[in-house]
Amino acid sequence: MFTIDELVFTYPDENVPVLNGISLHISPGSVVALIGPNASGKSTLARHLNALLLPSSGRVLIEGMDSRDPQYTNLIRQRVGLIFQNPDDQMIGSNVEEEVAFGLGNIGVAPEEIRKRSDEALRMAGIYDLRTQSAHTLSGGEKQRVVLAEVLALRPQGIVLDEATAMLDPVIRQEWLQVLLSAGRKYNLTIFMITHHMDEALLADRVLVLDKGRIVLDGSAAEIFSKVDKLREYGLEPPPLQALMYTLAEAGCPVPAEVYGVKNCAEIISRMLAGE
Amino acid sequence: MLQDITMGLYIPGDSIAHRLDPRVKIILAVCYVIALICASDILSYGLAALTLAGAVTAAKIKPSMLLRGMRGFIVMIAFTAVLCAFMTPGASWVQWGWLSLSKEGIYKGAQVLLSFILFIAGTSWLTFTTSPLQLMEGMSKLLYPLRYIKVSPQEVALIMSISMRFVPIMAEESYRILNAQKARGAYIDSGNITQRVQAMVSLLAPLFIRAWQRSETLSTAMLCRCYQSGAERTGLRKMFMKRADYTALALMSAVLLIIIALPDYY
Ligand SMILES: Nc1ncnc2c1ncn2[C@@H]1O[C@H](COP(=O)(O)OP(=O)(O)OP(=O)(O)O)[C@@H](O)[C@H]1O
Ligand SMILES: [Mg+2]
Repeated sequence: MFTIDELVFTYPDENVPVLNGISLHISPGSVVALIGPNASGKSTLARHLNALLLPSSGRVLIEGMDSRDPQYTNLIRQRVGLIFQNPDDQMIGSNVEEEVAFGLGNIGVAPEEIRKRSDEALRMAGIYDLRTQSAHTLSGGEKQRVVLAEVLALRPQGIVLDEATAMLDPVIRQEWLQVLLSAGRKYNLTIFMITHHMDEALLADRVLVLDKGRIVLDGSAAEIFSKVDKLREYGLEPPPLQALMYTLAEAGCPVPAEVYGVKNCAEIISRMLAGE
Repeated sequence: MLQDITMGLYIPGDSIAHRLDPRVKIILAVCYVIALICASDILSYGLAALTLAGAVTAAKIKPSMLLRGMRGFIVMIAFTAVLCAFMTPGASWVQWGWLSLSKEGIYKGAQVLLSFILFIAGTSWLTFTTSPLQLMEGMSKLLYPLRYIKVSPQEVALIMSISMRFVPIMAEESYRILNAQKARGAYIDSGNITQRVQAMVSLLAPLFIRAWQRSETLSTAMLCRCYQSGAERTGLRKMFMKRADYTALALMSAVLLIIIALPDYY
């Protein structure tokens, strides 16, 4: 889905590159989480994935399309939806239906087809009943679902989230993520999520750690989160279970570094207690 | 005061006015504004007010909504009207010391007051019944001739409708900032002139920064949704004119013609 080759990016009028030689291959249908401290370049990388920013050197291929080739720009943006943090900054229409139709109108879809595709997206996002409501009466979680529906209506192949759940409370956040992931499974979407919530990153098949514009760790969630000391070096705090295992291991307990959820963790501890 | 600005707000509904073609509504609003500019006698203002009342009824908008929208501007309007009344030359009618007020001045002041109020109410009617996206689509269709002078009608329509959408957002934002600064002891409603000006500046600075950030993210979000300036867009509904649209246009043209034809007299 995404192939990144030696990507270097410097903002205009700056001299220090924000992204410093990133090479990555992300396969279609995978769920990838990107974590990293503030100002490490996460948002900058996300904006390269739908041609909002273009590499200073190196290249970014989206489904084989080079982002620097202007003839692909619009197609790339149809294929890759980008969702930001604040839904209010992303909404243009006043009512839900109109909002979801905005993107489809931009690519010149006929009115009847717009209706069909936006209804499907509204159902998928679980907000079909809200379709005639005006945007400013919705809650934060509902607004972010509208933004998701708007992206889904364009029938993308990939969705990039730039801290899309940062403004939602924990319960709503989980619900929203579940809607996203089930849409992802249904349409075989590639999901690339930037997050500061480690429990969110645990949902991913693959976790990348970005620090000072370089990918410093890359592996499965279990693998990455077992490297507790490394993560702390980059200013990241692993999820509580992994931190627990790490502390136990440091205290000399015979526990594996990699754990897979509460159940697995409980088994390990009960086995350990029984063994003593 | 600031939170009372309802201009630019959209009130979803299913009234006759809501269902009119957005292009027609824009034309109606433009005709109405022209009528207000041409109006100069009581009869014309009466007719314009009557038109407005009809439009508001057809939109099922509560008049209190319109009044609330007016509240934010009342000081400015009143000030302009009073200034106008005193600045208009004419034979002195009432005299207080060096201040003199002429009959023409009073007439002029009342005229300014009336047309301002009718103007704000009329433009509010348009945004109350038409969502920003409909406005944008309607405007870009109407501005189509701009093509011939190499200006993109979509671009102009977009800028106009986004700035309209920003009005309520900015009002909300300024209210928030205002409260935050009042909590920190800013003098906006009290204090001497220098203190008030300082307070105003410290209100406006964060407001502009926030507005700039917002427009930046909003335009990025639009690019992400495949928005291309100058490209042909399609809408959820095909725009087509119904009987109600033709009737509304006919009525408005009649009003406009009568107002233009009515003789000016003082
Ligand atoms: N438009 C810009 N012009 C110049 N420099 C920028 C611009 N946007 C970001 N930067 C700089 O690039 C660096 C990386 O920013 P970026 O937003 O990608 O970080 P991030 O990892 O997303 O951070 P956060 O976790 O705070 O969202 C920062 O040092 C930032 O100051
Ligand atoms: Mg960021």
